[in-house]
Amino acid sequence: MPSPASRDVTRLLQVLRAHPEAPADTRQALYHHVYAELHRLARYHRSRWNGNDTLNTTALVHEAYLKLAGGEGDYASRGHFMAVASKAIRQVLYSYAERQSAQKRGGNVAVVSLDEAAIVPPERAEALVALEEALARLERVDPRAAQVVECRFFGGLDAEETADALGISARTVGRDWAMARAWLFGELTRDALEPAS
Amino acid sequence: MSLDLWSSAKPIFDRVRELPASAQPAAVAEACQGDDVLVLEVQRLLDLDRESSTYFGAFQMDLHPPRREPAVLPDRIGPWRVVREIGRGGMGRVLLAERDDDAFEQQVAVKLVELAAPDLVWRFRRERRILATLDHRNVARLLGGGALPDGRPYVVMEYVDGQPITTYADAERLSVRERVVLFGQVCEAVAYAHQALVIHRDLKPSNIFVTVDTAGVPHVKLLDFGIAKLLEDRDEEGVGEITRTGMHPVTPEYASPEQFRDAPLTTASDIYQLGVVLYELLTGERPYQFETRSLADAERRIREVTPKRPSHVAARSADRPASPPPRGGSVGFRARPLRGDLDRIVMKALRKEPERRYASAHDLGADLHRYLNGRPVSARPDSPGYRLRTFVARHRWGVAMAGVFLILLVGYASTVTVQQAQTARERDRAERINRVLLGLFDPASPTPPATPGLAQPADGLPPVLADEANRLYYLHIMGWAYERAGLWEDLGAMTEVYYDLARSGYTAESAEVTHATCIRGRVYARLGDRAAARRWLQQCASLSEAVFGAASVEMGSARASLALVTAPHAFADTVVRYAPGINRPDPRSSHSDSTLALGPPNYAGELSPTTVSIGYGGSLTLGFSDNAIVDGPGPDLAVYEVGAIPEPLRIAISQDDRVYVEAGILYGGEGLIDIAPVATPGARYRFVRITDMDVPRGVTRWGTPGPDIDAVIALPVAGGRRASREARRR
Repeated sequence: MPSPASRDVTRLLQVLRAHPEAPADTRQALYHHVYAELHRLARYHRSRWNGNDTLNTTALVHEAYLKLAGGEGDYASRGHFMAVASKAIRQVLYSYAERQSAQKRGGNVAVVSLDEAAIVPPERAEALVALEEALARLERVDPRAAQVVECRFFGGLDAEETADALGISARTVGRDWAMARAWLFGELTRDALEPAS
Repeated sequence: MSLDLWSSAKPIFDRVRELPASAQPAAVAEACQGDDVLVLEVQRLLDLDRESSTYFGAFQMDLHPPRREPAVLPDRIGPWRVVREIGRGGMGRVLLAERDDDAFEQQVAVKLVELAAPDLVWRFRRERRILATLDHRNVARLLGGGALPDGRPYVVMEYVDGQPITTYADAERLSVRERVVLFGQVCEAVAYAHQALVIHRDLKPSNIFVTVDTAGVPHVKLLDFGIAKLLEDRDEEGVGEITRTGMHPVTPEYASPEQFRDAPLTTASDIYQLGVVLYELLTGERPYQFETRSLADAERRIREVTPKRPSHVAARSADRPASPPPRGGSVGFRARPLRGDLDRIVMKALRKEPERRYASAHDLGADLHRYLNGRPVSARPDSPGYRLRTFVARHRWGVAMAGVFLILLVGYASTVTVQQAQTARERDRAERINRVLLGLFDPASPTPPATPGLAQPADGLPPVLADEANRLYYLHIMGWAYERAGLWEDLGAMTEVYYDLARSGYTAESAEVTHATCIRGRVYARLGDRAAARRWLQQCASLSEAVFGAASVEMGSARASLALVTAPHAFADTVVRYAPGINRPDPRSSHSDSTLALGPPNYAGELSPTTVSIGYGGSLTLGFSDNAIVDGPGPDLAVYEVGAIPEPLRIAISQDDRVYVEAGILYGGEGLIDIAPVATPGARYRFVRITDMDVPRGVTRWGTPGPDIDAVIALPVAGGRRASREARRR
């Protein structure tokens, strides 16, 4: 028996399939569902897992897809879902990383539970925060490249899947990803490269 | 900030990125049409490209770690009953299974794929037909495949009860000959598959098994033929991407240079991997070993650095009591048979450029066969000119570096020639020789005269070199260049010709013959032939005294070189004693014959040649071989002491462990690191090369980390030489 969220998602994906240029709030609604589901899944998995592994976000996205879109989704719908889910993952990871590094800095913020903390590899938390800041700037100049970064890096999609999700060629994905990656890396390492005083 | 340039930089970056690194700067300059800021930005992004790929690859691995394997193995896979797990790889697990619904029992290996491209099953069906046609006694058969109910794909292969080829050869203590014979079977199997248009892509010892039949005869079985392709991403771009980011478990040590590029793979990639396996089979070591986990570093070295010759490696491992005794025989058993033909065969298979390798696995096998039968092999060493060109091209500064080297070379040639004779005719001759030298750097021009051609003037020799005196100059100059480039093997052959020519053209007690004698001695020392080095350096010393005088710099060099060979322990003393000469180079000696050959003994008490040379314009070059790391605090930490340093200086340590201390222009070695001139003139320093990020506490880091060396630090020598001696003894 599909959940209300699942029925909603299926419907939204159908809308997107029929009207790829659907109003922004269609995607926003889809995003909302996916984000909530990913959040829930992340916490659920974290609570069950032991050991030091961090969460596999790729698996998370796929699980969310199965959960929300069920077997209904065709290939195009799956693409729309993946693009949205990758954006949601970006947000999920950022919010955890942000809290984690804020806590590390000793800020007065809500305490992150151990389970939540392990969703983001601790040694990557600060880099994720810096990455989000750089990516937000890049997004203003080249939104498509930012989407490619979302799919490839956050969503864990390969070049083909990213191409399908965004409706562009794999070649374009390759180009956007290479350039964005180099630029982002430059932003992330800029401070580190400057001589320590 | 640099986002302003994003849209202008992007198309240029896209286009230039595909070009070979050496062609990039020019292409960027052209595309940017004089916009210097844009040039800088594109170049910056290109520089970041490779490292960013590694960085994000590792980052992604942290965010998306491989799926956890279910603890319980499936009982059955298709018609096969699972017996037990027999192996684990980057992709998943290998299970032993058997078919029990048949009259006969058949054992199979099932490769269960945990990490795979999503459309693997689909592609598997497409490829299976081709792979199933592979029917060769040295190729493990592909029997079938499918997907488990949970979607994990698997392939079923003939089960091979055996050992990896290297393990087998060592366990059976096979001789070099037996190893080569066994490897012949590998070549046959690969040649067969190539004819069936199947590329292996992942040849390595763990995929090359040896089984022994009831008669005790070993048979090679190649595993996983064509499987690597099945498991890879479909599009070639994706393949490169995955390999680059480290997400695909191709073992970097065995990867061909083109596997690091986005280039489609051909059979030549398999030939390269055959070369790697043969190298390991013969020497016990792989051509490249990566201490760091940086894939970018691995890629750079595989693409740019020529591995040591197998005989060199085999000889070195025999020298080292610290390492386990050479596998498969008595100490030193392996170096000798490798020298010559086998070296050349392996090095040809390992060439960076696919088109310069063996054209087929069959050709490689045929050459090995010729070696076994004592017939001449087809593999020829790279020509010296080729190596000199690639040496220059390898430099990080690419084009600019080649230019610097060329200026030095030609400038040196002019100086030498003009010094010899000041007439207009001689200057004309110098210019013509310079043109020959310039030709060395033009790949389109015919191969520059190789050394043997210079002993006996042959057809095709540039006319200017028909003259004996000109050939002598030419050899003198090339000797200088080769020494700079560290092409010691070539120098070995060259110095013999050089000496003979000098003897035939000049009196025994001439500057020319002296120079030829000394350089010959030093080359022998560098090549490790201690007896010959001693003989020639003794001659060098007596000639230098007679020709240049007892107080000359030449005599100092000769004495130091000799001291090294006869009393290697005098290393530090010799450096210090002759260091003052470094500050005041005699104008007449501003060429390579002012090299002091120095070196401490290695563990085996053998001479490990190390050079200190006073270069053109009074620069100082210290060359340290691997073995010069004598009783250092650890294998990764080499402590070098040099004497008083002339002022403004730049110091670089190259990957081959040469330390370059230059008063003027900086050049030499691979992977140079440029260091700011902060040395205090007159003070003595120890240079500590650290290949690990662990910089000792309390030590000031000095210099910029480079691709192979993470830090170079210089420590003022407190209390003089004693401190460093202690460090060395530790």
